[in-house]
Amino acid sequence: MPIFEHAYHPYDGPLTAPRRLPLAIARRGLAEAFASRLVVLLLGAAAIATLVFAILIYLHYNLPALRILRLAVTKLVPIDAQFFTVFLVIAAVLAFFLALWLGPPAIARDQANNALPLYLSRPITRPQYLWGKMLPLLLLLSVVTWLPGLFLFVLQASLAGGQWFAANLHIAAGIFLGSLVWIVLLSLLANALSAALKRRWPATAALVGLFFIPGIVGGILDNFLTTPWGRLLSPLALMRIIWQGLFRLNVPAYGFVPGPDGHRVWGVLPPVPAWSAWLVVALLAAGCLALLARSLRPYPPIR
Amino acid sequence: MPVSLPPPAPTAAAPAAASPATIAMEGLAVQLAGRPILHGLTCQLHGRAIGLLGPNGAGKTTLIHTLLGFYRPSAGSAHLLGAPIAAGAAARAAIGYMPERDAFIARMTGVQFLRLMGELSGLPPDTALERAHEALFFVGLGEARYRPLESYSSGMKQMAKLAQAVVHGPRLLFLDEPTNGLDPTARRRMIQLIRALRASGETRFLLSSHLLHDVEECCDEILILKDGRIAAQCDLEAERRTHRRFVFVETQGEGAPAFWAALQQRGCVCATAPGNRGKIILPEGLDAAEIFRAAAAHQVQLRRFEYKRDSLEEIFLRAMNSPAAAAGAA
Repeated sequence: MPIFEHAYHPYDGPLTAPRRLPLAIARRGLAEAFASRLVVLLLGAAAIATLVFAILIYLHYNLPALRILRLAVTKLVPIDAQFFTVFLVIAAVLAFFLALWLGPPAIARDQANNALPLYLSRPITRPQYLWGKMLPLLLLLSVVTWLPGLFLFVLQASLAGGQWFAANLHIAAGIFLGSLVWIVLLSLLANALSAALKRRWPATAALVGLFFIPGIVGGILDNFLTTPWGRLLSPLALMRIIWQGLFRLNVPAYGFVPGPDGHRVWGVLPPVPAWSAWLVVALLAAGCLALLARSLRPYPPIR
Repeated sequence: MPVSLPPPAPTAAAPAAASPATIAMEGLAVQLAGRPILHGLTCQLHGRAIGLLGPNGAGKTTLIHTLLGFYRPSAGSAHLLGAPIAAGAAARAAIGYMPERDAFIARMTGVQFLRLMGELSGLPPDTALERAHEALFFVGLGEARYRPLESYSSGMKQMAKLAQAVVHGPRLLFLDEPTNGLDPTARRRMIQLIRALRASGETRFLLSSHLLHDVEECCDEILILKDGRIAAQCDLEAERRTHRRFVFVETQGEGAPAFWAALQQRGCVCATAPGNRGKIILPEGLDAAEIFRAAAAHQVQLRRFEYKRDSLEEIFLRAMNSPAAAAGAA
């Protein structure tokens, strides 16, 4: 149909399957993300971090290289659960900045420009719209967290042999599950705040606040009430508890604890069970979904 | 109860009776924040171009939003082209919607915007791109299609909204106040486009507007709402045909009584009024030239001769002031 006709023509050709419609939103989101220099920079930083960790692994099994660098194997960082946890923490920080940059504007821009009626008058549902908006973020966060994490694990396993692989399979599960919890939580929080606050910068500020202010409040509660449960208010502490459980690590948390003479002293806080952290994360995710269900409407509800 | 305007009959442009109604409602009621907005609307609209009229707060936009699935009916049901709105997203596959307010997606050019909208309606990406160009040329934004939407003027944004509503070739269009905020030239252009859509015979539409003239120019059937109830439903084409047969004349001459009698013999219904004025209702098949022949035969001068028909404004005002509508409001 040539454009010079300037006439209306119906369409009766093939249609895309409804389940694939959100991919159109996701494609647009990805294109917009890669147009941002900051995103490219953060992805580059993630690639460099992965490369450094891969070199560290490789050096363990390459004596000529160690000789050139005049290093002893004993001086290298051991490749164990702690090694992968450190990588995951670095990846999580990069993921946080990616989510902070890409998450808040995703839905807020549509809300600000009244675009939701345009989306939702088409054959897509609200969950599909949300899926389309979350998918680019989930993909990019995967690229900086569990994908390189599993690559490092496979590299180590290929160099160390089947015995190491069998003995440390829980690390692979930890990398995947630990990353998944983090990126899903980040994506949900970023999109829920974006949808609820309808403006990019307030949503960004709220996301930063949500990750740090409850942690401070939790620390104060822990210290004043000498309870370990205040930590559960902090998303960062929640992740630490969950990751420690997944990687089978036992790194103590420090704070003020009751001393023998009744005064509070700096010491090891009693541990918080991992299930409680999982429960709080599940509640947070449910809260985000409830907020999204309330906010993702073509027109604001009449009260 | 709607007022007793002519019943909705299929117009020349309307589909055969066997095909599903464009819009069918059965006791459709909507409550928002616990307040009833639409009160059990029941009607069948078969027209290709349906005008939705009503004063502010009558429930026009709520009705459109409910038909689009934005609001859940508290009672009753509705069908669009035979598909129940309760079917959700599937029912919207063949629908286009032009919202009243400014609505676009940020950081996109016109063609990117329309391509995305086309893809979301189910068009394959390549087809969506092709149709995006076509739709932009159709609405007159061909030269501006690579410009960011944010740089469009109000009139251009309005045209872009129409383009996104038609990019996927919908079978039913909802146009909510399409001429809002347009200058006279742009308004004329918008009306021409809507008339072109109607003339294509490929799509039907529901046009909601405060501007009776716009509706009169574009629509063949109207639904008038008042306080969430149907105040009137009428086939505008049938109305036009009926009322085109009214003729008002003013006579002068001694032969006037014979003139009126002659017309009555020819099957006309005549009513005279003081001042030599009269109203003639022509029967089917009788040409208006007969009036001139009768006047000549009886040596009567016709000082005034005008066709008279109800304008949409008169229909609208009659619906607003009708006892039924008043009862509905009460």
